[in-house]
Amino acid sequence: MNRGLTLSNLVVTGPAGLIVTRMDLHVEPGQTVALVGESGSGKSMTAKAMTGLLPRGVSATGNLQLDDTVIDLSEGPTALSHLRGKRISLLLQNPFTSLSPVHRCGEQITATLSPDLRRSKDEIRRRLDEVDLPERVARQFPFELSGGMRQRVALAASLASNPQILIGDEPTTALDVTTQREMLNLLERIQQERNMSLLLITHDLGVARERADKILVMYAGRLVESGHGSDVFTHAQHPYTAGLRDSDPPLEHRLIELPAIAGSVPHPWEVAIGCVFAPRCNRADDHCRSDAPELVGTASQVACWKPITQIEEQPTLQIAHDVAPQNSKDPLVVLTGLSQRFTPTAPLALDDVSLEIRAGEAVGIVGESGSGKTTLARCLIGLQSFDSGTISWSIDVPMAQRAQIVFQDPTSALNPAMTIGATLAEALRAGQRDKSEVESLLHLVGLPSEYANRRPSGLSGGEQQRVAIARAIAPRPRLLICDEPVSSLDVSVQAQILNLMNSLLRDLGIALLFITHDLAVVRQVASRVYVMNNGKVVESGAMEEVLLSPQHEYTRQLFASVAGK
Amino acid sequence: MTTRRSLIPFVTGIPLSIIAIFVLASRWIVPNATQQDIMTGVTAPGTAGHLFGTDQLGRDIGQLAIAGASSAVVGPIVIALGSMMIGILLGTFAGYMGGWLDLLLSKYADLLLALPTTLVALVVTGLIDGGYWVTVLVLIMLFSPTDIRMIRGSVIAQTGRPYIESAKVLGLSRRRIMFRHILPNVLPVAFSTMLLNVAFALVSMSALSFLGLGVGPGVPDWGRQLSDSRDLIDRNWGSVVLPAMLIIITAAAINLLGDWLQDRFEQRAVQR
Amino acid sequence: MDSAHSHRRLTQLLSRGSLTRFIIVRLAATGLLLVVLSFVVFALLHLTPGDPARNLVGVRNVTPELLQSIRDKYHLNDPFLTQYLHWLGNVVQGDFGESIRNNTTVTTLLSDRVLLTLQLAAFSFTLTVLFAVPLGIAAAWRSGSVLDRSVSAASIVGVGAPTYAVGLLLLYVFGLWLDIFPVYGSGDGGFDRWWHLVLPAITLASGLAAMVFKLTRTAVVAELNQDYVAFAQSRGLSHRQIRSLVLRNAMIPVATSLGLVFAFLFGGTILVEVTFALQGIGSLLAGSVTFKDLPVVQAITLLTATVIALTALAVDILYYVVDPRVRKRGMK
Repeated sequence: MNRGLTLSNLVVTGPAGLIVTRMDLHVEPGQTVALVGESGSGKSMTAKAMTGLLPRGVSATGNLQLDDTVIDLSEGPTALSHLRGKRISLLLQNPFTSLSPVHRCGEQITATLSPDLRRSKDEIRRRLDEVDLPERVARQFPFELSGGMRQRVALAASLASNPQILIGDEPTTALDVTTQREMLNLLERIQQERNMSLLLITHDLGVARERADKILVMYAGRLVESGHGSDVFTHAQHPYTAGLRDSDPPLEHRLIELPAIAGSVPHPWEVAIGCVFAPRCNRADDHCRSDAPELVGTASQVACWKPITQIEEQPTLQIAHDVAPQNSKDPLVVLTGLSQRFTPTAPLALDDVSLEIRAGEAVGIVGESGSGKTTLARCLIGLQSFDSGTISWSIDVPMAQRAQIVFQDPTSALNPAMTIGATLAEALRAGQRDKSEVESLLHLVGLPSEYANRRPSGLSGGEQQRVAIARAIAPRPRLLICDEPVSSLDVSVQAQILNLMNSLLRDLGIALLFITHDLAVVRQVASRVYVMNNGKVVESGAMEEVLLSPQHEYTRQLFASVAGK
Repeated sequence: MTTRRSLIPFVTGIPLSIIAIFVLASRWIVPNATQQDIMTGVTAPGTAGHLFGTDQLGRDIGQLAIAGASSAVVGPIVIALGSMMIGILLGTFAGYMGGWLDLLLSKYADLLLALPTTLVALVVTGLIDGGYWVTVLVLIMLFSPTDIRMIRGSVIAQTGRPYIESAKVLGLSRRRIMFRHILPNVLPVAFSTMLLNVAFALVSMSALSFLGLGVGPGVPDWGRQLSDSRDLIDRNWGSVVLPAMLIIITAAAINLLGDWLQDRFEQRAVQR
Repeated sequence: MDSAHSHRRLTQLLSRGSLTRFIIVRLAATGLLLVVLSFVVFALLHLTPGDPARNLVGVRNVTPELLQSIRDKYHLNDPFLTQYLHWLGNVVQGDFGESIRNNTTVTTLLSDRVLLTLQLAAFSFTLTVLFAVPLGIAAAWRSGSVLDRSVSAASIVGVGAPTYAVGLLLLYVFGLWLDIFPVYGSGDGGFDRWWHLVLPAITLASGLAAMVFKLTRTAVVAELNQDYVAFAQSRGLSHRQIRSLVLRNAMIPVATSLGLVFAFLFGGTILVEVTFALQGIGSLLAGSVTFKDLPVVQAITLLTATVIALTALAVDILYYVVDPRVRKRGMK
C-alpha cells in the first residue's frame, strides 16, 4: 500500500513555451530525494506543479501517484486539493515572506487542524517542541523572530497535518550558514521520526550530496541524470553534472583555475532541437545537436549520447600553492580601530576593527549577514561615514584610482539607460584614461567588443557582472573591493567569474578585498583572511593557517557548518 | 488581455486627435461660434442647422463646444507641464541632496495636502479674482507638491541602487550623477504622471469655470457652458449632455492612456 | 476575531501606555498643523486684493463710520499678529464674526447648513464603501476576469470624470427623462430628505468609489501575490481561511486610504451641492467666495481642515491598533 510518490511524464508549459519537459520522479517512503539544478532549470516549477501552485498562465500535464491515489495534473489545481497539505506539503525558501505578518505564529501553525485541536495549548506546545521552539513563540508575531526561527515556525505549519511527503523548495537558502546546518539537521531528525519522504529542491550541491539518498539533476527544464546519493557526482556520466561538480569550488584546496562551463543556462523554451546541453558541451558532435537524447539506464539514468564512462580519465585539477604575493611588504591601506553605530539603540555595526591590505595581495573577509563586513567595505570606499577610527592610504592618487567596488546584484549594478560602452567610457574618463580602451577592457573581462552597443537588459547576470568588474578596473585602481560578487550567480557562472578575478589579479597586479559568506569561494581567491562576527574581527591570518587550525570558536563553528552540510 | 491592452493607444488616440484638431483649428472650423442670435433663443437638439440646439443667447451648442476645446485643454497642459518641471527640478535636488530644501518642500506639501485641492483652488482663485492664466498659475502651485514628492521618491529609490553608488565611487560630479544617471531613469514615470495630471487639471479647471471662476464671461469653455445651461436642461438637453460628455470623454481618454503608459514603464522596469 | 477579543486587546494596549503616548504625540502634531493653517486662513483677509476693511463692508454703503466700526471690531489697526491672536481667541470660542452677505453671525449660518452636508457626506461615503470595497476584493480575486476588466476600466473613467458633469447627466437621465428622482432641492426632512439626496450622493460617490475600488484592488492583489498565500494553499487551508488571512492583511492599507478618501469628499461636496442646488456648506462656500464674504470663507476652510486633520489622526490610531508591526516599533 505504501508505495511513495511517483510523478510521471510531467510537462509544464508557460506563456513563452515549455518550462519542464517530460519529467519522471519517484520518492520512496522515508527517502530523501534531492532535485538539483541552476536557476531556470525548472526544479521549482516541478515543485509548484506537484502542489498545484503554478502561477497564472502556466499549466501542467502528467500524472501524480501517491500510494494508490492517481491524479491527472491536467485537471488543474483542484484535483490536488485533497492531497495538498494533508498528504503532500511544501516548505518555501523565504521565511520572511512565507508567514502572514499580522497573525500570531501559534495561529498560523495550527490553522489546518480541527477547530478543537486549534485551541489546545498542549497541541501547540507539542508542535513547537518538535521544531525545537519554546512555547512563547505561539503568542509572537513572525517579525519578532529571527530568520531561522521563522523557518521553524513555517516547518511546524507545513507538518501540522502530518503529511507523508514534504517538498522543501530551497528551504535553507535564505538562512545563514550556521543556521542552515541546524535547519537541515532538524529536517533530517523529523523525517526519521515520522518516516516521512522528503523531496529537497536545491541549487546547493553540498546539501544534496550530504543529505540525499537519491539525486536528480535538471538542466533547462529536463532531467539529465539521476542516481544514488553522491554517486551521481563522483561518477558523473553527463558532462553537465561533471561540469557542475567541478565548477563548485572546493574548500580543501585552491585550484589554479576552476573548471567552468562556458556560456550561461538557457531558457528551456529557447532550446529548439538536439540535446539541451549541446551548445555548452565540449563533447558535443552533430548528433548531439540534431537529436535529443532520452533518459536511459536502470539504477542510474543519464540523458546523453556520449556519456562519460568510468574508464575515462578524469581531468586532473591543478592545485595551487598559496603563494605569498609580490610586494607583500608595503601596506596599501591600514584601518585602525574602526567603529560605527547606526542608531543609538542598535548594537555596534563595526566594533574596533583593524585591518591591513598590502599592495597587490588578495584579502578575504568572511562573515554571515549582520557581521559588519559590508559596512566595513562601504567605509573603506567612502560610501559610509564612521564614528571613530582611521583609514590611512599609503598612496597619493585621486579617489577613483585608489579603490573601486563590485556589488552583489549584477542586475542593478549598471545604469539601465546607458549602453555598456558609455558606462565603461565614463569609468575610463574618471580614471583619466582614454575611452578608446573600451574594447580592450571588454576583452579583458571576456566579452566581445560588440557588447559596447548593448544595454544591460540584453545581458545575462554573469555578463552584467563582467561589465561591472570592467567598470571597476577601468580607472586602474590599486584596490578592488568585491562585496559578495558571485553569490547571486549560478555555480557554473560563479566559476567563470572567480577565474576572471584571479587572472585580473595576476595580470594587473591590483590588490583585492573579497567579501563573502562562502568559505569555499574565498579559498579560491584570497591568500589572507579575516573572519568577522557581530562587527568584530574574531580571527585573521594566512588562508591555509586559518583553515587548518582555526583558533576562535566562531570560526570553528563556521567551518563545521560548511564542511558537514 | 495583452492584445486588448495594446488597443488602448488606438482607442484613446481617436478622441484625443479630434480634440486636438478642435484646439488647433477651431477658429477656422467654427469662426462664428460666439455669435448670438437672441431671436432664436433656446432650441432643442435637431433644430434646423443646430444639431445640438442653441442656448438662451441663441448660440449653437455644437459650435460653442468646438470652440471651447482650447480653453479646456490648453490650460491643463500648461499646468501639467509647469508643475512637472518644478517637480523634476526641486524633486531631484530634494531627493538627491536632502537637507533643509527637502524638509521645507515636504512641509509645504504636507500643508497643501491638509486640504482638498478643489477647496484651496476655489478659495485662492476666487479671492484674488485673476483671469484664466492666474488660475493656471495657482493650479501649478497646487499641483507641484505632489509632483515634487513623486520625483523625490523615485530619485531616492534610484539613489540607493548600486549603479549610483558605483558612480559616486568613480568620483563623478553630483551634477553628472543627478542629470546623467538618475534623471533618465526617472523621466518615464514623470511622463506618465504628467499625462494623468493633464486629465486631473482639466477636471479642476473646468470645475472652477463651472463655479464661475477662471474663464471670463462670453469666452467659450466647457465648464462655463455647463453652468450656463444648467437651467436649460428641460428645454435643450443637448446643452448639458454635449459639454458633459466632452469633458468626461477627454479626461477618460487621457487617463486611460496615462494608466497604460504607467503599466508599460513598470513592466519594463521589472524586466530590467 | 471576535469582538470580545479585540476589546480585550484594546484595553490591554491602553493600559500599557504606549497607545496613549502615541495619541498624545499625534495630537500635538495635529494641533501644530491646525495652528499653522489657521494662520494661513487668517492671512487670507490680507492677501485678498484691496483694503481689508472695504472688503469686509461688502455690498453695504461705504461710510467712514461703518469703516471705522469694522476696523475697531476686527482690530485692523493693530499689528498683524495681535489681529491674528484676537481672531484666534474668538474662533476658539466658536465666534467667526459676521457674514457680510447675510446679516447673521457666521456660526448661525453654518449651523443651519451643516446637517445637510454631513448627511450628504455620510450617504455617499456609505455608498462608496458598500460598493467599492467588495467590488475591489472580487476583482482582485478574479483578476483578469470580465468582471475585473470591466470594473477596472470603469474606474479609470470614474476617477477622472468630473462630479458636476456626471451630476448633470444623472440629473437629466433620472430626474427629467425617467422622472424617478427629484431634480432640485433638499426635501422636507425625514425620508424625503434622503430621497432628494440619492442623486447627489451617487454623483459624489461615483468618483470616490472609483478611487476606493482601485486602492482596494491593488491592496488585495499585492497580498495575493505574497508567499504566505501560496504557503497557506500548499498547507491545504480552506478557501475561507485564506480569504480571511488575505483580507486581514489587505485591510491595513485599505483602512488607511479611506481616510484619504474622506478629504476628497469635502472637495467634492462643493461641486455637488452647487450642481443640485443644495443649501449646504459647500454651496455656501462657493457663493461666499464669489461674494468675498471672508468670515464665512475663513470659517469653512478652517472647519474642513480640522475635520480632515482629525480623520487623519483617527486613521493613524486605527493603523496602530490593526498592525502589530507598527505597534511594536512605534510610529515614526
